[in-house]
This record gives sequence, structure tokens and C-alpha cells, in this order.
Amino acid sequence: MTSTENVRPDGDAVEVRIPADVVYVSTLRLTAASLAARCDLTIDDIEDLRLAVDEACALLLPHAQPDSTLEARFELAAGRLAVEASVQTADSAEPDRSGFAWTVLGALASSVDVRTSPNRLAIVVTKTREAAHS
Amino acid sequence: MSDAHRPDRDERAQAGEMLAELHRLPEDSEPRRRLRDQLVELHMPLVVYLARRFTGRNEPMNDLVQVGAIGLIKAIDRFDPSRGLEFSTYATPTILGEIKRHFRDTGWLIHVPRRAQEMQTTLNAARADLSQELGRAPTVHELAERIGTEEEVVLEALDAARAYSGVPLDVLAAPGESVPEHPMLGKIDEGYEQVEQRALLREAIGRLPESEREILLLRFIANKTQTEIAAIVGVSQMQVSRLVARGLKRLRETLGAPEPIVEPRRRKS
Repeated sequence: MTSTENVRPDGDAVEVRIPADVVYVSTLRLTAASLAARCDLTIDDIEDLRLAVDEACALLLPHAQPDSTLEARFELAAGRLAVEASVQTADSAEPDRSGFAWTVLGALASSVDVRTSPNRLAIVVTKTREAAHS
Repeated sequence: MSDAHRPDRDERAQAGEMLAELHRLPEDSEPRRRLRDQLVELHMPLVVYLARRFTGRNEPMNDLVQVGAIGLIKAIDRFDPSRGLEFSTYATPTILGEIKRHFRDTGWLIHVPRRAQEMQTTLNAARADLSQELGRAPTVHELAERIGTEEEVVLEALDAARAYSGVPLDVLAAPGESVPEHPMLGKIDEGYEQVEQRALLREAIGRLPESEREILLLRFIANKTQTEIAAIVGVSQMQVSRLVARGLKRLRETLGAPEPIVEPRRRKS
């Protein structure tokens, strides 16, 4: 019943599809937090990741086609969780890199990657377990 | 969500120059202080943006902004312009760090048990009240509205409640009674503390008045809803609710337990 069963999550993946609408972002945040716990990230990492998921969605949603879905794929590993969130776009789109959302995302995630294809915009957020403060 | 204030390029360049200037000025000098005030003002929208991310946790927005501003000031003082990093990128973790620390210090960081416990108390009270008013269990939305928080916070608190109600269901069997076969019964955890609790609880249950004992057994062992119990026993759901509450209260008093006992949610095993 607890998240500390001795099963390493390496290689496990979870996919979630939500309507591309702000009201479903909390579902994604909760999923991210729950999976991050499985990956043994610290509570601070989890807090960062929740916010990062928020920001990634804030960057993606303006580009989403009406009535489309936002797809999220979580790749689990011990001490690391990667989320690839993507939406269907009209043309090739770029996230807005001039606002706070981008700045905050960059500051919270261990790494951020943007993947664009003609009809899709994806942001990959990776959070790696923080090193102990010395 | 996308109400981001956009610092335009001029503003950023301006901030960069101001920061470079600030770090050339002697500490505690009046011009430096003035420059710092200007920089704080210039970056307050970032603080507000970040603080807003933490609202809905019963912390007033003003407090969060103030705490965030402390982080901003620290970032301004520590920023090293020669490293070529964008100031807002540098400042964000510092501001967030300060906000998180505030939650931690006040016991409100969402994952800290103390927070969860405080939330439990509030949640249980709201849950009992709403059940009475509605004649059924409240929804997450209704609970969130009553407590004045977000649904997500309620969901998490419910999750935490599941973690806290770690007493196995079969403890409620009265002395001498065999453990009822029930598919909802989870595996028994053999922790010493629980063994002790179980013995105490068994004794306490044995001392309950017949009516309360029967209803508690139906509620917690047979996992019936209050409405189902009402039908079985032939009283109103209100009365069931009252008897459950009274029975639990009595148990709590007998055991000297400070925390309200949480009704178990259906267990997955």
C-alpha cells in the first residue's frame, strides 16, 4: 500500500491523456507527484515538479487545437522522472520563451527540452533527485 | 494561467545594467540601497507570479508575496553579473526557496505530516458537518468549498488519511469473537505498536454499549455505508451517524487518543 515497495521503477512508463484544458492540469500534477514519489524524489523535488508541470502546460495549452487532447508520457527511473507533455498544434509552434512560465520552468526542472514537429509541440521536463546539501 | 507579465528586452537590459551598477557600489551606501529598491520593484511581478502558484493553501497571498520578496532581495544581493546568467532565472529558485521555507516553518508545506494532521482535523469536522447537512457523504468539491481550499489539497489530505488509518479492520472484533471473513480486510501488519493498540482497542470495544458496538462493527468491519446500516438496524441514517460519532468518541476517550479516528475508506489490498 505504500510507495516504498522495493520495486525499482526503472523502465516503467505511464501515459495519461487529458482534454487540452486548464481544468485538467491538476490531474496531471497529481499524477506527476504520485509517480515522482515512486521514483523516490525528495518532497522538494516533487514540489518543483508539480510547478514545472503547471508551467509546461501553461506553455503548451495556448497552442493546442480546440477539443484536442494533451498527452503526457512519464518515464520512471530510480531518482529520476521525465515527463513528455505534448499537444496537437495547427502549424509548427514554439513555446513562448519570453514570459515567466519559461523562466520558471527552466529554474525548476533539471532539464527542459522542446520538440516541435509540423503538427505537434512537446515539452520534455526531467527532474532528477536533488543532491544532498553539504 | 497565462497571465504572465512579459519583461520586455529593454526591461531586461535595464535590469542587467542596474545589477552591474549595484554590485559596483559600496555596500550600505545610499545609492546602492536606492538601486536595490528599484530592482525589487522591477521584479515584483515575478514574485507575485510565483506566489500565486501557492495560493489555495490557506496562506494569505500577501504573506507569500512578502516572503517571496525576501527571496528576491537575497537574489539581488547575491547575484553575480559576471556569470552571464539571466537574473530572473537566477532569482526564481531563491524566491521559491523562501516561499517553501515559509511553508515548512509554519508547518504548512503540503507533504509535512504536521500539515496533513492539521488538515485531517479540519477535514474531519467538515466531513461530519456536511454528511449531516447533505444526508450523504460530501464530494471532494463540497469539502474543498467548505474548508476554503483547493480540491487537490483535499484529495491529498484524503490520501494522507488513508495512510494514517493504519489500524487493521479486524481489531474491531470483540473479545472472543472470530475475525469476520471479509474481502475488504487487508493484510495484518504485525508492528508491535499496533499489537498493543489492538489489545487496547479490543478491550475498549468490549466496553461499548451494545447499540454503538453493533453499528461500529457494521460500519468498520462489514464496511457498510451509514444508509445501509440504517436499513439493517431499522433506525434513521441520522441516528446511525450519531451513534458512529458517539461510539468513536467513546473509543477515543477510552484510548486517550488525541487525533480523531478516521473512518476507513474502502481498502484496496
